[in-house]
Amino acid sequence: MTALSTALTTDRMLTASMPLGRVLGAYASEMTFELKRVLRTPGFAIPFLLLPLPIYLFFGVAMAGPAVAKQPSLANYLASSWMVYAVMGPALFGVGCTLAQERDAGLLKLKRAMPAPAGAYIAAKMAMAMILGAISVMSLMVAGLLVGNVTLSVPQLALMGAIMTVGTLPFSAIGLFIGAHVSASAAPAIVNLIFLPMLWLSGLFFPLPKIIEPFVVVWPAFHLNQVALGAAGVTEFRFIAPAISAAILAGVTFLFGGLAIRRLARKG
Amino acid sequence: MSNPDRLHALDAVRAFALLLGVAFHAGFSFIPGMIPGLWAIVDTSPSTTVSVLLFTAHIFRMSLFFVIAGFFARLLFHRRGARGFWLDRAKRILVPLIVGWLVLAPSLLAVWVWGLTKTFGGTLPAAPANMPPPPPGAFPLTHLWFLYYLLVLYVAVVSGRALVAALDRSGSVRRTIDRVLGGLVRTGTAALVLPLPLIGALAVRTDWVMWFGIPTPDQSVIPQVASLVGYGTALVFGWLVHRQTALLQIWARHWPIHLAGAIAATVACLAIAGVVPTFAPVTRGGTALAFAAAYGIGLWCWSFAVIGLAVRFLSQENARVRYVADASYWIYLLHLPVVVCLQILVGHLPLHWTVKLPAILTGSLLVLFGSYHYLVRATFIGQVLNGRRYPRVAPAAPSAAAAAPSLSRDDDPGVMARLAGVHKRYGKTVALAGLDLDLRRGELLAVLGPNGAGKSTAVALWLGLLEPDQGTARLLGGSPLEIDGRRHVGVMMQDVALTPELRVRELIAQTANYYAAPLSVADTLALTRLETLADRPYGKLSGGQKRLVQFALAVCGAPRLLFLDEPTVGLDVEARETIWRTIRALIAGGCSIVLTTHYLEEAEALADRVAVVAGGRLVASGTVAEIRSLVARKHITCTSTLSDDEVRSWPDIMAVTRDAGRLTITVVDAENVVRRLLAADAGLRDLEIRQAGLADAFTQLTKEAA
Repeated sequence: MTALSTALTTDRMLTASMPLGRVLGAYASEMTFELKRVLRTPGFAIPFLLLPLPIYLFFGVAMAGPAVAKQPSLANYLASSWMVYAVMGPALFGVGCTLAQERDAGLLKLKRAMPAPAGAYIAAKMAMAMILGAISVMSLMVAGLLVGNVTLSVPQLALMGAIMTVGTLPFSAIGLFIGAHVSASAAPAIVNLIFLPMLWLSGLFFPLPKIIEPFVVVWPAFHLNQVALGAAGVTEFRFIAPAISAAILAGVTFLFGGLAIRRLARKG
Repeated sequence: MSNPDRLHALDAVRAFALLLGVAFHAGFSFIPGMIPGLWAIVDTSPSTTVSVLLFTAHIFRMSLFFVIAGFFARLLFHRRGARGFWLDRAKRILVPLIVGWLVLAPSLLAVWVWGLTKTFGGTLPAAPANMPPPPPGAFPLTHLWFLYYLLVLYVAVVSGRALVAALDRSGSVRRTIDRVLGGLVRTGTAALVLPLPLIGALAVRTDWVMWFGIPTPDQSVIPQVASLVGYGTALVFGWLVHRQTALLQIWARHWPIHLAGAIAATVACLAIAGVVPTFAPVTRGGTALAFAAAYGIGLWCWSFAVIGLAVRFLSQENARVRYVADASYWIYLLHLPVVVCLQILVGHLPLHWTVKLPAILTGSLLVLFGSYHYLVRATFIGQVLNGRRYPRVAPAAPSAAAAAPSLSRDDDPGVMARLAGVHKRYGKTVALAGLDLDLRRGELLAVLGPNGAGKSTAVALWLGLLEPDQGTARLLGGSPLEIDGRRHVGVMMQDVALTPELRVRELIAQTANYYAAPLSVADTLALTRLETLADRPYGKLSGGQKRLVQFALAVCGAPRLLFLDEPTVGLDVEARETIWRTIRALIAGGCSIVLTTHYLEEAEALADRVAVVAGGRLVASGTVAEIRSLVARKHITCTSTLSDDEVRSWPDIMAVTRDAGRLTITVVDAENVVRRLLAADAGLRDLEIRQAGLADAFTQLTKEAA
């Protein structure tokens, strides 16, 4: 009781703005609790954190073994491709589905009415996807070096991993866009509708039929792969200037992120 | 102008276009494949990223500037008349052109000589033998060419306007132009039609370089056709847009599509012209035409996207944006020698461009903003350039004052939250029809009303979740959309599911972090009697416990203002007691509270004032006693042998009911009826007179409103 009375009866001036430190604190706490929430939902965290590694080992290492033996540089490309897969999941599903769910639950509206700093919620979601993505990318990096016949140096690989981590952003933005528009029950279906075609049609894992090939440029996954390969200095498997790919990814992030934020600001 | 807010957005756009020019020139030395001698210095760390960004910026920055210039030109022309217009333009365009050139041209020459000497290892190269002859009217306008072209285009537009006004006395031509223009903008085809003049002008010219788009006419005082057409279209368009400013709102809605178009067109341009410039002039043909088309479409898409974004997000007056907008003209005039100096200084250093370019930008902006602040803003130079002189104050002061929520901004300092004449509809359903409702300092206002009365809509308007269609909503003297005001507000809403995985303690900590000076988590737990549940995940709590946690989140920020939307629905007696006790403590501490409720005893127990809302209007407001007396009804109960119908036939009887032999009569003037009762039935027993409860008052009021 005493704490309340002191806090309330001291005639705190309304003119005081929130100090920047506390605003940043609010962003940080939003991120921390978002991460806690995710880690306490094993059904969500495990598929995204742990699944990419065995899948990579099976498809990217064991099954691709003969092809890599013929063309050793393929190992680098495959490692990069599976890293793209590893960051797409948490960004699209983690951001898209949970946003739709929490929007349905009225939580977003409450946060908007409460003085949650604009953007803290979205930043927390994007950071969560980035951290989950980074963890599983790291597991792939280690596996790639140990058993995946990757010929890249550790700094090259680290740079690639860093690009992948930042590369969650365009996918998170698409996730935000979906989550801001569809209901919680529709979200997983819609996300899959984007995720699966993108996974297979962006030429990440196997050569595409000639007729589909030119259309890889519509998928952000293709562009992220190109940027990562470019940054790591891999000269093979480069189909487009990394700068253009990076610009396209930035454009995707900006466009979908902007549309999502606009929608959230209006409808909550 | 009906809405002066729009000008803030366009001021910001103009500043953006000018500052983009600074960035454009700052990156110039990093363009790969630059021929030594074409710019003052060629940097040792070229970058295609930079060249792509520069290319993109250059597509639209000058055209965008001319659109805004046209818009403001008509604004000025209609505010000040022809004479005032030309006097103003002479002072703010012609004088800077002449004086600026006299100062800048020699300094640019000096900087160029320095840079070229450094580029060619100590000696200036001889002029190439096959140098083209100087164009007719050759004159180095430098980057001030845009002032010269502004003046030329002003003359053209104002003469054209006079001609149209003379010939089109009925105004039908102008109305047609407005309709066509409006149609183009509304259908989104403006970005496809407006480039046509430019495409035509470029199609007949062979000496332009694709990569640099509209030829920069800085070499001759004789206006270049392609430049005049390109920038003239922009200026005339801006002028015409000012005739129907509603078009700005269309771009505010359509910015994403324009942005997407702009990016697509830019990618197409880059695909044709290459990410690295080739300096050879175009040859006439399909490629050049395709490029000109993509370039023109990109130019307009970028312009609409930028204007739309600004109108959408920068329409509110903002002291910082205002400051930058004021500074931008000076900065653009002065930037070139400063930027090039820094480029020359770092040009040969063995550093990556990601280090050098930001250093050049930061350094130039420091110098330019510094010089603006100390030499221009409060002096006659500022008077000439921006038309006003600011008093010497620290730049932070006005912005801090503007950002702070303060009661002094409202007329009545006792009003914490206000809805005035608010209308709100959802499609065809009218939720609020002219609601006026104030929350006064330190009071608990209970908002009562049947379902669908508009209570929750009113709360949502106060919280900035909705915006009124008409009328104003104010919170702590400011707009509810401003977060600074909401930082003093706590809120508990209906139908919210909090994150089930988080523990009660964590939810409180998370919410408390939104506030400047919240209660501690422990105090909040103690206050709301949630200590024993502190470490339970929210998802594992009972319904009543969840409501109590939501209440704890509403109070944990130690708010000055609390909105509680039906807080005690589904709570047991003990939990309700906890909430009531806390509410009383908050009121005692000076908090003001809005409470919507269906429990009338809750309003009777807590409220200082009751507002009855029905059909989207305030039907009554006052203390509990006042509302009751407003419908001053009394219930008389007795055991009597009189028949119901007989009593009903008496004057002023409102209702008669019988329950297990006891007669209940509802009246306004109880005394007269009691006298008559006693006279009519000598055996009358168990007489009792009761004031009607709030429940009755409420039922009747809302019935009357319906």
